[in-house]
Amino acid sequence: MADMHTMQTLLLDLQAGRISRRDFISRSVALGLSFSAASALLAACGSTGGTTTGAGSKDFTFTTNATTPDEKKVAKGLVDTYMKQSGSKVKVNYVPGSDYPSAVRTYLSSPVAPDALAYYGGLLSQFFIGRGLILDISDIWEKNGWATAFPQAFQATSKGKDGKYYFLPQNWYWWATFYRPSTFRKHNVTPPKTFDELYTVCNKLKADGVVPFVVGAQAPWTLAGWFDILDLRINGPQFHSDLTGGKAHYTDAKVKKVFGIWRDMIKRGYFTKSASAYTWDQQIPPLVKGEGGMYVIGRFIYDSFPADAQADLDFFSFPTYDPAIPTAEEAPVDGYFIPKHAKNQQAAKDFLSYLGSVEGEKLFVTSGGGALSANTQVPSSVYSPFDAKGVEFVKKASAVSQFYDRDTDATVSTRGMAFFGQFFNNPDLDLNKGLSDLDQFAQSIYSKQL
Amino acid sequence: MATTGVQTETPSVPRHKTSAAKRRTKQPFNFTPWLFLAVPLLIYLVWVVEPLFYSFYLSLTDWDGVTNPTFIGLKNYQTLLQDPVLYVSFLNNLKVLSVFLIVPIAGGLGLAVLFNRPSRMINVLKAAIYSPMVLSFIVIGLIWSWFYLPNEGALNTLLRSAGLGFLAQSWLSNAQISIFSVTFAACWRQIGYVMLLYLAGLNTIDASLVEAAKVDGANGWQVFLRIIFPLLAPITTIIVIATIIDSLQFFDLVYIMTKGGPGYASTVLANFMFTEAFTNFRYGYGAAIAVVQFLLSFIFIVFYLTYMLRKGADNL
Repeated sequence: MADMHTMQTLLLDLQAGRISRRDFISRSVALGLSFSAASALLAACGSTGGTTTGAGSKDFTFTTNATTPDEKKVAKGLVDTYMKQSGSKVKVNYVPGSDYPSAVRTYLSSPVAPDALAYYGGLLSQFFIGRGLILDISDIWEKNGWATAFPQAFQATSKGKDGKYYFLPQNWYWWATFYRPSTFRKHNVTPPKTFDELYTVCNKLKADGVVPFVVGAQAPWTLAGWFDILDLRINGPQFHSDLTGGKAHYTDAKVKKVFGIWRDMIKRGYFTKSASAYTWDQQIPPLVKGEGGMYVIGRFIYDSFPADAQADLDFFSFPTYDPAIPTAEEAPVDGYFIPKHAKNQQAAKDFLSYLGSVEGEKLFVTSGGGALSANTQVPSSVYSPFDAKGVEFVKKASAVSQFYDRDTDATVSTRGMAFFGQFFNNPDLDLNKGLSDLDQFAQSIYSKQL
Repeated sequence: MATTGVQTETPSVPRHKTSAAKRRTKQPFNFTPWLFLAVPLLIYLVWVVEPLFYSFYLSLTDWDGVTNPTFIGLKNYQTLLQDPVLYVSFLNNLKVLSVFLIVPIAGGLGLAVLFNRPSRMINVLKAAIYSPMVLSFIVIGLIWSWFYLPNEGALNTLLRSAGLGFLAQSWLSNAQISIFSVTFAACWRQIGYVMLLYLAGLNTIDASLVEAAKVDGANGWQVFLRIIFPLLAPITTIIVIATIIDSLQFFDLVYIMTKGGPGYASTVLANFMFTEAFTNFRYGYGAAIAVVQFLLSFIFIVFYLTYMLRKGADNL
């Protein structure tokens, strides 16, 4: 019985025209398929015939997870401009963000796939890169000289284990502690720089009846943001990277220290009560109304802020715990890749070249992309003052991490985030047992990957 | 059984049929019902039965949805039996069952007894109480989650304005009570349905029995307990079995209102399966959970079918 996986690869190669009909039959028979079965398969699936190189036409399909009308407008703008420029016809598919990871899995494992796909950076795309499902795009990285245009941290997440480039990091945004300066002025506090100052600010806000930190924790990723920033400040970016990468254990005393400090902050009443009852955006009104002081969240809060309040929204880096520890910030990056068996590879590569170019990035930013260009050669004049501040903010960081669910294996991160939720609602739970269970689970997943 | 010598045949039916006669009166095989059934049966086989067996197969593999499944035998079940979340989920299913059994039955039966008289006003009330059944779970989940909001929600606001502020809870984010809060929203929907079933049942009760009991000096409560409730036993049985099966498959409301949180406090088996299969992309593991859920439901479904078939046979 022919090995299914190899048969599938043969079929895909045949359809893309990478192998000839004769090759297909001889290889199928070598795998154990009977000659008649192989010819039947050949007839059924057809082929482009001959020994074409599978370059495909200039037209291609592009699938993106743009969900809101604004996001779709930006994507459409990019595609339309590219179509005019290059003369290609592009078929665009929009898949809602919540279904997107499953949809992409289906595309990558079926013979028919879009030519260009938007996707999240970090381990989320490394998952597919590691399984050999993504096309090597080192040639366009070289052609466009991107090695000098993109930050090292982004480049690292775009390469496979073999050092070749597979992913184009196109946009990124940052996480920080957001606040309304007017609220701070009203209560006579200024953005804290150290943990001691932080506690002072929180106590003052609390005394004045303002919730120091609002958080909507129904979906626990907001708590993952908290765990990340506390771990980065208390233990430093190297340990955080080791922990999320599976080299350090959740039972480490350093992790317990983070939870200890977090527990203290929870018990002091520094957070929204019953935070798990609220989605993240349900906690924006308290911030707008001045009932809440600060929100540890991503830049996207700006887009959800009421238009007349946006001018009075600012951010600062989470206070330092230990001056000896380098300050790291969280900056998740999103971008694009091409499935390995895409039909129109050259057309897709040209499109990616455009998306990553200064011109394409400029258009993305100015048409309301809601994020920053990963290409650092884009002049900072295209950014709004708010976003320009973000660029400087991340430039000052000594290290950049992606975010808990992109730095950690997907299965482990779901358990981890569920644990954060459990802990946040019941800070007195048996921490040792909880962390040991989580670590056991994580190690069982990591050991399978070795 | 031997005859007693009395001939029972009528003139038109001879006592012994000749083999030719047998062949003539034997029914030809009727293709028509099978033709009608063919298409739905085919759809059923392809879309329900085959995926069922495929799930059994998947539960024996390790599959991430992208690469090919690798056969690992019963390892998923081994891991599952050591996974604390399995037991937390099953316990939550039991919690759902306890509330989902008692509240709709008590409430539905009480309302049915109350409303068991002709009256236009009461008909309006019956319709109003039944109306949540037409709402989808998504709608119910969304509206009840707003209702349960700790500060702005109607429930806590009402309690506070009535001076009962101490009763106000974080209904959905308190790990102890979140599953009960979710189940109560389901009960709100279910009560009308159970009430309707009992109203129909009450109509089948012979009024003379009730009158006879009253003549014997029974008060209202005794009439209910000794006459009415036992006579409603068949309906109660059906409701109980159907409720048990429903609570094992409980999913939608939990997913909308709490996503199984906080942590795993309100996760039920179906949510656990959904998270493992479709959020973590561990399809093999998710399939194993689904198989466990199936086996648990299967036990009760067999009870239900046996009961219905036996009852059906008794009625012949």
